[in-house]
Amino acid sequence: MKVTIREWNAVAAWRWDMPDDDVCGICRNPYDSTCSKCKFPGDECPLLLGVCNHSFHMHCIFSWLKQESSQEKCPMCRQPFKSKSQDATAATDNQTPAQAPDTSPI
Amino acid sequence: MDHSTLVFASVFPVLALSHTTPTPIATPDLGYTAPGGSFGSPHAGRNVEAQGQGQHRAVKRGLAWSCATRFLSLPKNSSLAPKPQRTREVVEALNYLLVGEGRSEDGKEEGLVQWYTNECRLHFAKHIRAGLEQLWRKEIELEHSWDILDETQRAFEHVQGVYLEPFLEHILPYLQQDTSSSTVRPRRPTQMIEDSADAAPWKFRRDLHAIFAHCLPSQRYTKSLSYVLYDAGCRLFRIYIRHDGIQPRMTPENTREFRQRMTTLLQGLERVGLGGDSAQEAFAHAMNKLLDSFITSHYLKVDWYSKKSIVPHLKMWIQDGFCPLVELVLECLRCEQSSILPTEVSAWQEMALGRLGRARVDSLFDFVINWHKSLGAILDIKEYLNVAGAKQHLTSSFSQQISRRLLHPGATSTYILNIYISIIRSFHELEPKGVLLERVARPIRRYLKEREDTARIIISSLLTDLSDETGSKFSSNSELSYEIASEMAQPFANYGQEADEELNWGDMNWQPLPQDASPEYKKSKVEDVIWFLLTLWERDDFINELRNILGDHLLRCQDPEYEREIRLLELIKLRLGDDKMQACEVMLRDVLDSNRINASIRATITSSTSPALATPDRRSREPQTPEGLRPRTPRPRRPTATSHLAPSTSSQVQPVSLTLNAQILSSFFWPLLRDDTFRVPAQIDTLQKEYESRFERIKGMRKLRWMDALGEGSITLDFDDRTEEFDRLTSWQISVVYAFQPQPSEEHAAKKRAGKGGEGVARNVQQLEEMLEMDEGLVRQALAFWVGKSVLREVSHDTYAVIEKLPSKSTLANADHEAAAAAEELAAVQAAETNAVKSQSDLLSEKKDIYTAFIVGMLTNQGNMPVQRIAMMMRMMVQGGFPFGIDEVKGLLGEMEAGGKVVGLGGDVWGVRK
Ligand SMILES: [Zn+2]
Ligand SMILES: [Zn+2]
Ligand SMILES: [Zn+2]
Repeated sequence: MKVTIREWNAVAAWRWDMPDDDVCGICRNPYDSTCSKCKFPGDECPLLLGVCNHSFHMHCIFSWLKQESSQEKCPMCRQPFKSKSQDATAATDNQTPAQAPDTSPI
Repeated sequence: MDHSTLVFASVFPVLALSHTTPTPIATPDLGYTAPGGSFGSPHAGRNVEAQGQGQHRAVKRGLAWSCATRFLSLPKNSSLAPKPQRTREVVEALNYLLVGEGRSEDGKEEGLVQWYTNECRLHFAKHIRAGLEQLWRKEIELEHSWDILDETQRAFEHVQGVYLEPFLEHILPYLQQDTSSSTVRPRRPTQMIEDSADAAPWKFRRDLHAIFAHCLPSQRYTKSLSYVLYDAGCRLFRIYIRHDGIQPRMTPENTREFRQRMTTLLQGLERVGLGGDSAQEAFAHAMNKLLDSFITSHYLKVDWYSKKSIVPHLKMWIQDGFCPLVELVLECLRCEQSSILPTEVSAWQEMALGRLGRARVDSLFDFVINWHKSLGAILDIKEYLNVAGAKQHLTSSFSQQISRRLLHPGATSTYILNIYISIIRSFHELEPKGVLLERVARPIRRYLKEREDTARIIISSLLTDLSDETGSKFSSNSELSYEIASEMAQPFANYGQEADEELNWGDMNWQPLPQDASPEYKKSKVEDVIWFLLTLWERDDFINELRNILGDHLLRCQDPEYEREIRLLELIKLRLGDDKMQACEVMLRDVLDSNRINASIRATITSSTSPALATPDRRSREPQTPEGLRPRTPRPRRPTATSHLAPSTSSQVQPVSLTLNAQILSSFFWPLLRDDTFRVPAQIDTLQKEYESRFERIKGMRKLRWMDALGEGSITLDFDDRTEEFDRLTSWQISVVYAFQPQPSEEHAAKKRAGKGGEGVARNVQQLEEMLEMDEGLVRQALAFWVGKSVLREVSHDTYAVIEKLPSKSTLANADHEAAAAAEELAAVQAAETNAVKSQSDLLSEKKDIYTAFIVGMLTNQGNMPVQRIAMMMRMMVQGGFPFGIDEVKGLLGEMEAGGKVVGLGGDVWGVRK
């Protein structure tokens, strides 16, 4: 007997590549959920990893950094916040959150 | 003799006390009777001594009395006896006693009229009463009522004639004569009325009638008369369902004749004094029953066809049929008021409506089942609701019907839901304000809420397409409700955010809330069936349930557009608001987006591999549309053109035609899904790895986890003697059959074996478990499936082999056939139990070790605890939450006790076993 597979539909679950059960330090929602303003996770509400190795929902850290009191520091470790990814660095440097990384439609 | 005795004697024939027999003719020495010893009236003697003249008068009166009473005395048989001569002496005596000096003054002496009345009474008692009493001695049988009443009436009429004749001929003329002269010289006007000649015959008749009435047993008479009137009504109105069970004659009655007979009897009874109170009581009773019978007979049938209320017709009958009969009877009985007032007509109508309404309400459950054919009956009840007390009656009666006929374990949840919907629809017609509905539906809602399959049925039905699902799917045993599906098929009304409708100043139809509305009432949107269903639970509980069911549904869904699912979420947001809908919306977005992701990943694969292997036809035809944006089926139900053609053109490049479609889920928002893992076919594994790496490259920082058990596919099996195609199989079914292909090392051996029983490669359960790293249960399920398809055969215990050649010998074929049938059944049952979403009990047994450890730890550290506290602590403290209740905790504790870990200390308190 020979088996020929003609069609295959698989199901997969995605997660952010973060430790399990960890939450965004700002909104306290899990990374795999959204920030408190968004409805859809993933592309529409990406994460941002800082050079200090703290990560947040991008929207969360942007609105944090926009506050003057934050002095552009990571809310967790108080070091100046810099994104690890190149795009994100550019985004934070230019203060243009709209040009976020990972949102390019694929 | 004192006054009260006299009064008594005048009513009741205690003859010895009050009556004197006529003086014998031969009585001598009339004039010398000693004072007080008169043979005449016993009363006469009393006042004789008062005056000297009195003595003379007494003598004279005694003589006259003797003469008159002898003349007036009644013979035993009046028709045979010769009429006595009215001599001059008699005339004088009558004149003397009735209007002359011998008349009784102020009732001190017995008057002649009084004496004659007593004579009649005595006569009646002696000669007539016995016969009548004989007639009425026993209970009157219904069918003899007419005859006995007729006979009684005739007897009374006759005897009344006999008694009246002497009175009218020999007594009344004197009295009248006296009155005519006395009007000239009026004296003592107060006495005029009592003593007047007009009053005398009336009084005499009244006395006679009292005698007559007294001789009949009054209850028996009333009953018979009542029956007679009822019977008459039944015949006149052609009633065929009667209280007395008498079947109506086949030939219609001659109603005119019958009406005549009734009229004659009633008038006759009235003439002999039997038309009084007791007759009216009998009549009222009869009419009451008649009304019932008429309604039962003519109006209990529901007008299923024209769907109209019969109340107007009933009211018309009351006015034009029933009331005229009542009037006729009242007239015959010579009631004071024989015409019926309009207010009385409407009172009768309301009474009839009450009867009809109560009868209708008793069958309301049937009308609900037959909605909307039963509209006529519902409209009748709607009229009835205006009758006082009707709403209470409806509520209590219908609640009883519901608890008896609907809310029992034998009724499926689908059935209950369907009936509930009919109740909502019919009650909306019945009472648009919805107060009654709210009251009667309360127990149904409570009951539905307790059934664990209710939410699933509702949501699945809402997701069912009426147009392509025909009949069979919607039997009452099914998990789908046609009624719900058809509600969903209607366009959405904009119910949603009308929270302020109470304050809509522009609404000219605004009405204050009904007084009997409960607080719940305000929230109900009466007509909206779906709203009622969606609000069976607390909103959050429902949304949570929705998430579970929708998750399962989306993974099974065959519609690439997810139209119904999109519509359902729209509907729910419209009705229940947006809050907490995020998970459902994310799930829907996930499955919709998967198309796009698949397309872009496929694009990266095709661009990186040989362009010849791409599907150039599509690209060239629609170059400007990126493939992914077109609503393409993520899982084509039929093999695509490429896969169809590929094997025939070149079987060598077959894997290239296979594309992997994936649904990428945002796992955080989905319910817990089956996550059994096993080895999928190597070919698939390769594709998945490739997909995964491309996904992770495109979507930085994200990783994929394949949920092996949720996959599915279509395959072709090539045997030595045949080729078979299977579509939409589960991933584990395919993986298991895939494992029956000969391994490179086995090719030779397999070839050799295939000769004998037509069997190819054989594997046992354990081997498969190891090869596939698959759970035994899943392996066995898949094996049963393939045995059922006559692909595998169990060749020895737990060992299965491919049937390369179907047997030609009938015995073996039969054995295969039977095994296949049995296995197919088993596989079907197992398939039905398989869900993409984990059930609560799966979850509980999976996490049992964690929970057990937690409980032991907690009881060790904190001492004994009651169950409630244990459950609460677990909900708060257990990592990943504890989505269970007290019952599950009790179950766990029970198992732990059996395992010797904990011990119940009574009163639900538990501790560690030491
Ligand atoms: Zn956040
Ligand atoms: Zn966001
Ligand atoms: Zn930091």
